[in-house]
Amino acid sequence: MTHASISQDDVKHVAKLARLELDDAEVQQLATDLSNILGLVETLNELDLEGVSDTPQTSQPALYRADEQRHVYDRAHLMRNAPEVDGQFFRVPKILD
Amino acid sequence: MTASPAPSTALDLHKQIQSGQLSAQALLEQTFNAIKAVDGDIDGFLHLAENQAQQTAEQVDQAVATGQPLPLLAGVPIALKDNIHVQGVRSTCASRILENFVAPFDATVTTKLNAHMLPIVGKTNLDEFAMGSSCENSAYKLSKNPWDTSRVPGGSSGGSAAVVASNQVPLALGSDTGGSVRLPAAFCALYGIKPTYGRVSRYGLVAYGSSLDQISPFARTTKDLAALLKVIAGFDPMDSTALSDEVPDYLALCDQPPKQLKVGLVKELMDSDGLQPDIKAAIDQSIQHLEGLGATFQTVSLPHINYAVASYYIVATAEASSNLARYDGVRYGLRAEEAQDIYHLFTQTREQGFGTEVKRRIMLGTFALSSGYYDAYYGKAQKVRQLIRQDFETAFEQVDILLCPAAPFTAFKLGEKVADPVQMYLTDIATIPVNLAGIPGLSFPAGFDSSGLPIGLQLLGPHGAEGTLFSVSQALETASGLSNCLPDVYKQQGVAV
Repeated sequence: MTHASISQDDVKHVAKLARLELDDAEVQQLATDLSNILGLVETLNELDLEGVSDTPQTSQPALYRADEQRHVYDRAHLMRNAPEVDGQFFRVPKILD
Repeated sequence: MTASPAPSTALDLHKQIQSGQLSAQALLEQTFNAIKAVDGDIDGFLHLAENQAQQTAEQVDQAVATGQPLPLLAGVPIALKDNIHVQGVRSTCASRILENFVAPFDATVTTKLNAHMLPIVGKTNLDEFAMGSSCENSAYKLSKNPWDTSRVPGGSSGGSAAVVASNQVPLALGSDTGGSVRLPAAFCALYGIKPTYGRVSRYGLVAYGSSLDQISPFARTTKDLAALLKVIAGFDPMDSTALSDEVPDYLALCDQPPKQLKVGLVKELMDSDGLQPDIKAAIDQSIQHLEGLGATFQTVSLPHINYAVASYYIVATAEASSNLARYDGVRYGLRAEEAQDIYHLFTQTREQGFGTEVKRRIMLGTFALSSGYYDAYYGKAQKVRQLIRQDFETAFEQVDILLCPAAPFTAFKLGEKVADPVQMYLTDIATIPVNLAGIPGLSFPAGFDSSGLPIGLQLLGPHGAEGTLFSVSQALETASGLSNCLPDVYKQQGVAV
């Protein structure tokens, strides 16, 4: 693999995926920073990873719980942190015209 | 600056309260006075919780008055990192995006602290969303290292470390995803333990890297640390990754000196060029202390450990990019006022609400998970994580524990590393492998460098070996006398005096 170089267009594409609106100075800085960090990450290419599992082992098998309702919080209590509500629902700008 | 022990520990204070010599409310008042006197210089707290703390202290005094036995550590004031929920108290994560967020429920650790009646005095500063090694990524304030206020306390749980090391409170909780408790403990002459992954419930801890995050305690003595872990550890049906094994009596294990202990020295961390010579000398000193107790030493190799930082910055940021997708300005937190449509509501809210380092990590994680790059970055990083886990397993077939530095250097100057993210990331070279492997790591004070700055070392053990780490840490604490270390200037002011 070639040494990672992240262009400003790459940064803009990823920012769209991440739902971040970056200004031009940020795009420029991030292209440099991400290229440098990926340079560090590419040291991983020195390793032979043939046959190594990419599924992390865990200390104990997955635990299952009964499928029952529990910990019911009061709606008004949970919605107190919302920027805009109509009493019952969260309000957002119009999604469909 | 030299260290000498302050008279009271958390356990001593608890005993004095239990015997009626000290009231919990008087201790709490003293604590808030100490905070008012000291925290202006340290900037460890983001906000206080005086009413809740007062209620808990009253509850303790009532229990004493009516002759009820007190649970472990009852009455001892504690501070919580501001990414751990306390119902009715703000959890800002040191981020603008959660500036006015009031936790609607208690974290499981908070429920346990309440059951044990420890007054929660306030919430402490951190790197925004626990992303950083110096506490400089907070949107609100710069916390200072009490041993030298021109230096960082370490991160990300820097506020929690700073308030314990400046004698404002004897105990605090942080969270450790890549060293965020062990590094500040080392920089501030504290004891800190990152437990085995799953030992402490993560319910109510704001998520950063979910497969790595673990709530972790700070204290000034091994026994205080052991007692606090005992209080917060245990199975929790609200966290599917919480371990179901019984929690041992860590406090009792502190008094069982290790017998025929086999200790491994990690070749790759000892040979590193960047290791400060004073730290090497502190390791030699600790080796002598343990040899005096009959321990034997051998060098072990963790061949993949130098790839840990690279693996971590893909795994952790990938998880972060997913975890932080929830901050969209809809259900809670900041909302960009001027957005005309839903897409710009998301993008502008996140642009205004997140700081530079958080954006950098979201971008890196999103990139690593994006189409065409997943196998080359995320898949590879996960495989390397597996190799690092296996390195530790192999090492623990030969030795009981590992002794290694907590960081390659002592506390650095504020501003020294902010411009270079890669250099900042490499600060965590000795702590990150422990989170990737899910094993416990305990950071303990092991002396001071030529500038008088604390040196911290780590003890690492296999999964579930916290008890062994506490017993070795206690033996080292007794041998070194590095117990309840406080800078001279803070000895007279705080709660421990």
